[in-house]
Amino acid sequence: MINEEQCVVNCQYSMATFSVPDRRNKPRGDRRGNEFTRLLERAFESAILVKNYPRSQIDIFCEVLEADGGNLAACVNAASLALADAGIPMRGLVTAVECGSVTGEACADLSSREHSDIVSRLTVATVGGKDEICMLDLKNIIHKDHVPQLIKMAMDANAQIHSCLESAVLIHMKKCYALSKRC
Amino acid sequence: METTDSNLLSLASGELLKKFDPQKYFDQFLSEGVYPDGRPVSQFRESNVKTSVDRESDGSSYVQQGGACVSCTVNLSVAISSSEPGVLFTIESLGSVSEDLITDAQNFLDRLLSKNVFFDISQLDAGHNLRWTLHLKIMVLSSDGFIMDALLTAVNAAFMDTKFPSVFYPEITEEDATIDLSKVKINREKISRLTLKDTPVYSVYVLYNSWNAADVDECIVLCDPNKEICELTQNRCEIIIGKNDLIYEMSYAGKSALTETILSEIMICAKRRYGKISEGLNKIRAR
Repeated sequence: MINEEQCVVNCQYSMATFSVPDRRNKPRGDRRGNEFTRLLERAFESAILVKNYPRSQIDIFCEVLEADGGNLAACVNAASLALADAGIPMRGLVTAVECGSVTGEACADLSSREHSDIVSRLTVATVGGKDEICMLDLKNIIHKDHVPQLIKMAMDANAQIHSCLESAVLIHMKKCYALSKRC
Repeated sequence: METTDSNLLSLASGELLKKFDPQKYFDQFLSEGVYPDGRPVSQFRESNVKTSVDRESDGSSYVQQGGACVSCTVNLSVAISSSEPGVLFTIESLGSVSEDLITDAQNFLDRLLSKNVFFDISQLDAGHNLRWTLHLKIMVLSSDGFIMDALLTAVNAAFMDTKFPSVFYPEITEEDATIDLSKVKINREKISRLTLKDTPVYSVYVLYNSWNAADVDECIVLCDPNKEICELTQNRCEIIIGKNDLIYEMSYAGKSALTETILSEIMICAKRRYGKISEGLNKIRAR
């Protein structure tokens, strides 16, 4: 669908059949995957300067090669770096992390073995490493009083991840600049 | 005559502005804290819930909430106890409802049912190693924005309305004996109903940045937005809340930053909405 005023962001989330210990039958098309796809689209639509590319489409394909919890957060971080590598202007690097609340205690970056139906999980994505939430996804039951603590932990973790991504982008830029200077 | 002409002119210019510059049209209302129809932005649209609308099913409901109309029918079947899901559902819609809304609704309902949020699954035990299965048929007749709020209310009301007949099996069964389903007798004169653990309520909020606001980052929280408002801004927060301030699910994606103040405002609105809907459903049940 062509938009006259801005570009359309199209995302696809899929998991390789070998990415989990119990081999998956379908890499994509399941309900959870479709939900992640829509969340990714909305998050990146808000971060990318979409008005710079009218009548265009940006496709972001995320394939999970090895799953160990925090798949959505990992996809957001990877997609962010890929967009920076492609030179697509954004409001800032989008970083994400998954936190969990275990008996009221907030824990950052749960692995797949720490996942369970009784542990509530919150994936938070922020822009530019600041307290600007552009995506939030909460699953499993949690009391509303535990949410602020979980969000605070996610923000602190996001700030750390942002600095990692930022330094990776700067190192890459310096290499490219050094290469172009030689040429 | 002059007054009528000037009224018609202002109406026409309003409609023209809405057509050619919807952002400006809605901004003049939303910056004042009201929707174009006069409803305050913190108020939800009226809900209308009816139960037992389909006499041929074991439980049914019809909900009109905002611009969405949803009907839900429950049919029971009895089978040998197994680990299969006790509640199966299908969601159908008329052509005017977007496929994305239906898919989102399927995902939400699937997760809520898998966590046995509505009732304890042991209530489906019919005795004699038999178990009830609930077949939900949900039909979305119209939508204006979102459908999940009306859909969830319809499901809650249908569960409340469901009448379970008593089951009788003539022969005494051993634990590992084979059950012949053709011998199962259903007594519709002796009925029981489900005891619901909770009636989760879905509500959606849109964060809107007014052009007239002094602070560019200042957001107005719009409760229960209609389709036209949703097209203006993609900043949407969905929350499913239950009793005792339990949050079942929450999601947000958008350009506007979701701050702690906005989040607590949303949770207060959601809690108020939950109280109103569950009070209404309890009144229907009490009748």
